[in-house]
Amino acid sequence: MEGDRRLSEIPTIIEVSKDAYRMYRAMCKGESEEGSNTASQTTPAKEKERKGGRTPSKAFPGYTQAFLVAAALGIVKDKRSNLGKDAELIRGEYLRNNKNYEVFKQLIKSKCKVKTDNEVVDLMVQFSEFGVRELYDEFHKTGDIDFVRLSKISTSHH
Amino acid sequence: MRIRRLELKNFGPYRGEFKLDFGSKDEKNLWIIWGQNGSGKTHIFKAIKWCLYGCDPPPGSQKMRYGTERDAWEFIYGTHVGDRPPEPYMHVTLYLEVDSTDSKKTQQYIVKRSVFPSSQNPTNYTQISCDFEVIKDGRRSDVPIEEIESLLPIAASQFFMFHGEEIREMSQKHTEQTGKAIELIIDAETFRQGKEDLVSVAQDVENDLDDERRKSGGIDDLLDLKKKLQEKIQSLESECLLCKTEIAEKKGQLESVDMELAKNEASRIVKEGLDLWTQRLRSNEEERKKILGRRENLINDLPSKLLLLELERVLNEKEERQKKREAQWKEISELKGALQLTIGAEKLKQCPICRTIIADRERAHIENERKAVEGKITKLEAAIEEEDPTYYEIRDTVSKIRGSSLDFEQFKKDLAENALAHDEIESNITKLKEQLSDSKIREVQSLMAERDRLLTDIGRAQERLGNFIADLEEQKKRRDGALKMMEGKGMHDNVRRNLEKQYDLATRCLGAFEDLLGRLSEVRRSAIEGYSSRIFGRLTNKSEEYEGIEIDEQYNVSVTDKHKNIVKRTKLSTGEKEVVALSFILGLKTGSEKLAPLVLDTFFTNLDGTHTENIVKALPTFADQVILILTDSEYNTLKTIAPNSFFDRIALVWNTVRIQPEERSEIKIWKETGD
Repeated sequence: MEGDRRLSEIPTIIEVSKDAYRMYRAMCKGESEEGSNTASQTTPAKEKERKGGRTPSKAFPGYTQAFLVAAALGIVKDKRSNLGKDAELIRGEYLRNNKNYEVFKQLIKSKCKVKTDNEVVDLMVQFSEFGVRELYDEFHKTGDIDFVRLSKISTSHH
Repeated sequence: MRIRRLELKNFGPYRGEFKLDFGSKDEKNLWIIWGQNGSGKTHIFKAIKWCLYGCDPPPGSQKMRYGTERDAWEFIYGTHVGDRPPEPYMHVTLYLEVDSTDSKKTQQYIVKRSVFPSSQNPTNYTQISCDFEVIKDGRRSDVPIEEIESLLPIAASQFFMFHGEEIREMSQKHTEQTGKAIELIIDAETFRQGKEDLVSVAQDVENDLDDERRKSGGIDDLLDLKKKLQEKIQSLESECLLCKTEIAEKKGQLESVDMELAKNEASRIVKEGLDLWTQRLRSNEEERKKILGRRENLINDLPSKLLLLELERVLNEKEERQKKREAQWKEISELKGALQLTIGAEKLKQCPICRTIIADRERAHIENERKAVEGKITKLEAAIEEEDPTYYEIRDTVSKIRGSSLDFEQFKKDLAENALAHDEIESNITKLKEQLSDSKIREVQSLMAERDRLLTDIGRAQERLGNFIADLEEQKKRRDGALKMMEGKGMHDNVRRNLEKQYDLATRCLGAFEDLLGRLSEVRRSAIEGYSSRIFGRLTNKSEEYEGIEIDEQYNVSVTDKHKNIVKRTKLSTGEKEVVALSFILGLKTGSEKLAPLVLDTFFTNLDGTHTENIVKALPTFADQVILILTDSEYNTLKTIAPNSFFDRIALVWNTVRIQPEERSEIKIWKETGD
C-alpha cells in the first residue's frame, strides 16, 4: 500500500521547458532544433548519416532515456534550473516503469531531503534542464553524443 | 388307341359275363349300341371308363382322379336299381391296341379292374377291395396308372368318350377344368413338365452356384480389390515414369546450364566471389544491427552508472553514521554492564572476597558512581544517531549498479571494427563489380538462378518419386496379399464360374423353351381352330351365315360370321351350341394327333334333322374307331336319314335289353347292320 501510494505520486505527465523539449526532440527524433521535419533543414547528425555515416542520427532511442541521462548529468554536476514546465515530455508511467527511477529516488531523497515522488520528479526535471543543454550542445556541434566520454564524466567531474 | 374287346362281369345291371368284340373288318370303324332308356346301354360306356380310370366323373366334375374302393362302392350302389342288393363282385377287362409311333408295331394292352368283397356281406367300402392291373404286350406293368395316362389321360377322356350330356355341358360354358384338359390333349402338359424340368435344372444349378459362392465367398470383393490395386499400381507406375522423365529432362537442362556456366568460368568465379562478398556484407549489416542494439541497452544503463559515484558517496556517509551509531550502542551497552555491577555492589554489606564490612562512606561512593553511570547512559541515549532505513536499500542498489557493466568503449570499438570490415567488403565488391560487366553479371546470374531452380525442381521431383515408389511398394504388397487370399478360393471360384455358365445356359434354354412353347401353343391353337372351323362348316346347317370357329388363348370357343364378327353364344340355339362344341372337340382331337376311340352317348337328342344328317355323314371320318350309344328313337332316326355310306362303315350293332322281373340287363348282337 505504501508503495502504491508513493508510486501514485509520480505525475501523470512529466513536463519540461519548451527549450528543453525542443532539444530532446532533436536528439531523439533527429529533427532540427526548430522542430521542423522538412528535408531541406537538416541537422549535422542527419547530414552525417546522409553522407554514409554509420551512426544513427538519433542520439537517444527515446525521450525517457534522454531525460534520465540529462537528469543524471545535472545531478553529477550538481547544477539545476527551474525554467518552467511548458511542454509535455513523457508520461509518468514510463518513468515509473524504468529501473533507473529507483536509483534517482534513493539518491535525491538522501541528498535533497525530499520525501514524495512528486518532489523527486520535480527535482529530476530541474537537474535535467541543465543536463539537456549540455547534451544538446554536444549533439548540435558533433551530430552525436560521445557516450564513452559521458560514461566517465561522473568520475572526472569529482 | 383302339378298343379291341370289352369283357364285363356283374357290372351294373349286367349279371354274368358279357363280351363285346370291337375287332374291325375292312374299313368298318363304326359300332352302335342301342336300347331303350334304362336298358343298360350307358353302362357299357361307363364300364369302359371305370375300367380305365376306376371312376366315372360326371360332366364338369372337378374330381379328375383315379378311383378308389370308395368310388367303386358308390358306383356299385349308385347304379343299383330295385330291391335286390347289387353284386359286390365286379370285373371289367378291356383289350386295347396301340400303334406304336416309333416301331410301327402294334402294342397290346389288357386293362383289368375288379372289385371283390373282403367280408361275406359287405356294408361299406371298407369291406371291399379293388384290383387294377395293366398288361402291356404280355407283361404286367408296375405303374398301371402311368400306362393309362400315356394312352389317354383321365383329364382328356371326356373329349373322346362322352355322354351327350357332356357335349351339352361344354356347349353352355367353358370350365377351367376343360381348359386344363385341352392343354393336356395338345400336350401342353408335357411341355409344361418340360419347362418345370428345366426350371428344376436351373434351380439345382442355382443352388449349387449359391453353395460355391458361399465357399468362394468374398472372392468378388477380392477381385474388385485386386482390380483397384492394379489400377492404382499402374497409375503410380505412370507417375513414377513421369517423375523419372521429368528428372531426366531437368538433369539434361542442368547439364546445359553447367556447360554454359563452364563457358563463363571466369565470370562465374568472379560472380561467386561477388556473391560471397555480398553475403559477407549482409552478415556485416546484421552484426551492426546487433551492436547498435547493445548501444540502446548501454544508454538505458547509463543514468544509474552516472549516479553511481554520487550514490556511493551518500552510502559512505550513511555507513559512517551507521558505524557511529553502532559505537554509541556499544558504549551504552558497556555502561549498562557497569551500571549493573554498581547496582550489585551497592547492595552488598561485606566484601565477597575478604569479607570486610563495607562502610557507609564507601557505600556512598558506590552510589555516586552508579548515578554518574546512569547519567552518562541517559546522555548517550539522547545523542544516539537515528536509524536510517534507506541505508540498506542504497547499499543493495549500489551493489547492483557496480555489478552491471557499462562498456561504451567496447561498443565503440566493435562498431568501429564493424565499420572497418564494412568498408573492406564494400571495397572488394566494388573491385569485383569493376571486373564484371553488368551484362556478364546478369548472364551468369541468370544461369546461376536457372541452375538453382533446376536443382530445386530435381530435388522436388526426386522427393515425389521417392513417395511414389514407397506407395507403389505398399500397393504391390497389398495386391500380393489379395492374390494369396484369392488362391485359396480360386478352385471354388472356377467351379462357380462353370456353374454360372451352366446357370446362364439353363436360363437361356428355359427362355427359349418358353418361347418355343408359346409359339407351339399358338400353332396348335391355330391348327385346332382350322380343324374345328372345317368340321363346323361340314356340320352346321347355316354354312352360308357362319364363317367358322374362333378359339382364343384361353380356349374359349366362339362362332364367327362371314364378316369375321363373333356371334354371341346367347344368339345360338341349343342344337347349334352342341354342334359348335362337337366341332371344337373333333377339331381338338384331330389337332392333338391322338388316336383314341370316339364314343358318343345319346348325343343326337337335341339336334334337328339337318344337323343329325350332317353329323352322321361325317362321323366315320372323325376317328379310327367310333362307338355310338343311341336310344331306340335315335337309332330309328339314323336309320331313316343316314346314307348308305354310313351303314357301310358299321362293323357291328348291339342291342341292350332290360330283363324283367330279374331286374337285369343283357346285351346281344343286333342283326341289322350295314351288311
